[in-house]
Amino acid sequence: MPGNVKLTSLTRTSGCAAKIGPGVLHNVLNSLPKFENPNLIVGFDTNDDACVYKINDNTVAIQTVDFFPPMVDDPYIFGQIAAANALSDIYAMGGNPATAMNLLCFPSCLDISIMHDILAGGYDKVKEAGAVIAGGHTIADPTPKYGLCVSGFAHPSDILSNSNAKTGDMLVLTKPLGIGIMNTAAKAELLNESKIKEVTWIMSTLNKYAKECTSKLDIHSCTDVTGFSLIGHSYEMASGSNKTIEIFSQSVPIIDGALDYAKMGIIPEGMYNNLDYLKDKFTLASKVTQELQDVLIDPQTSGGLLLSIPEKNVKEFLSRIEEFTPYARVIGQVIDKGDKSIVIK
Amino acid sequence: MNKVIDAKGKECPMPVIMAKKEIDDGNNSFVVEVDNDIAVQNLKKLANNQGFAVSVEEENSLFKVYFSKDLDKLSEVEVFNETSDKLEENKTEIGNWSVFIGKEIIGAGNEELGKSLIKMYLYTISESDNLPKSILFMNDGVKVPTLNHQAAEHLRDLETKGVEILVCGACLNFYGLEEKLKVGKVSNMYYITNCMKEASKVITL
Repeated sequence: MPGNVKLTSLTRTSGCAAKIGPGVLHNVLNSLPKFENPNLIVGFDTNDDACVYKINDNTVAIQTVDFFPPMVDDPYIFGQIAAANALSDIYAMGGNPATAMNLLCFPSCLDISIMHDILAGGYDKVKEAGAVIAGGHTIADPTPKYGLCVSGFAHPSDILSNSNAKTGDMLVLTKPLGIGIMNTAAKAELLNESKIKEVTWIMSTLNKYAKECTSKLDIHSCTDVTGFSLIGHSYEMASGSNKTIEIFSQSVPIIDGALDYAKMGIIPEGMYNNLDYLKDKFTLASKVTQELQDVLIDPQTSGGLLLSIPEKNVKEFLSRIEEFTPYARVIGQVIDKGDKSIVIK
Repeated sequence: MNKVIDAKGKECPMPVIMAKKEIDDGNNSFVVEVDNDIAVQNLKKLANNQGFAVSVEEENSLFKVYFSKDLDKLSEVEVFNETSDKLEENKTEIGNWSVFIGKEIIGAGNEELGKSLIKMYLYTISESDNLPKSILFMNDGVKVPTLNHQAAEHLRDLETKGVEILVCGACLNFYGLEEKLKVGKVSNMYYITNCMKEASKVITL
């Protein structure tokens, strides 16, 4: 590693675990005026992944921005993960990314080769996504941070909002959970090389492939699972759609080892922030262990897509995505609205 | 005097790692000082996982987390867990079995008798002390939670006792009975087959 600097030692929190807690954010945003514009198809209201702005009857623009401090020590891999995470919001809306701008905060005392490697990681992911880096902005800051502002396009009928789930839909998750816990374990130097590789592979995989597997299939709703955890993002989908979502906790894909670390208390601060916000929004079956609950509420960095799919299309989607990942599976279903938005079974 | 581990100002997961190291070194009684509640909660998880009793003192946002491998305390914890498990059992008593109802009547023969029998069947299990985990309705069976008023009442009783009542949505649709559903949840083949797979036995009527 250049200069032998441990990137993760320069930051208190990491990845999406560094997000401002949802409760705090919600209160602040609610105190500000709302923008209204007939062309703004998806804005703040439904807590969606990106905004959607109508350009004409055949085209909408999708825009998002995401950046965070390092969750891994290798600058090139950090760049890849931050870029994959930012691009993901465009895929979660059903669009294709077109242009991306770098956002970089970088300590003035660090070796400039580290900056090069972070950006190179980002460039490679943007290239893989079929988009272009078109500029950016850099400021000096003691804590490094990197991410992208991404714009993409879609046909209006291809937009996948997070608030259109229908009763009877199956929920499919395309990446395993436990990323926040595993990153916390990595910070404590509890993970071996191969485990670190596995987790970084999961984080740096573009959601492009999962999105492409939805091609020509009727999909009702989609979001990506990031800092707000599986339960948090499911809650947004359920409440936005005015439904209840049942999570089949025993079917959720989990990175090997995450449950063990959760049991030991190797849990990021973000989990507790999420829990604080979500605790009165779900019911829990008695068979769900504490560590499993912790994993379900663990903040994910560059997590997978969560799709609400009509039952008749589930098999086709799963058979398509099998080629790209062994982790995708049905993890829940949408039912009529009950007392709580989320029922963990 | 207990050894004091100063983890103040340390971010997660460091306090846990420091405590774990102490446990791995064979120390059965020590104190970890931390300055935030999240560290306290993570330390509690560690203690629980490693068979330690834990108690917390708070003073001016400074937390002292006492770890001890105290056998008395440990057995207390176990006794408490056992009793609460038992209470839980007395309350619910839901077995790991399912009932599959694919017809509007029980058996073959007189229709009126068959409808009455299915009503009696549901009443009888609703009064028994071992309830099924789920009751699944398909094909002609969906007429029970829609058209058989008395049977639907017993089903509602079963549902409030925690039994899952699942009704095939495609079947309701086929018979045009969606609006008539009086009890239970609209479900699908995927979920219903999963219930059957997970049940230790499925009784088909």
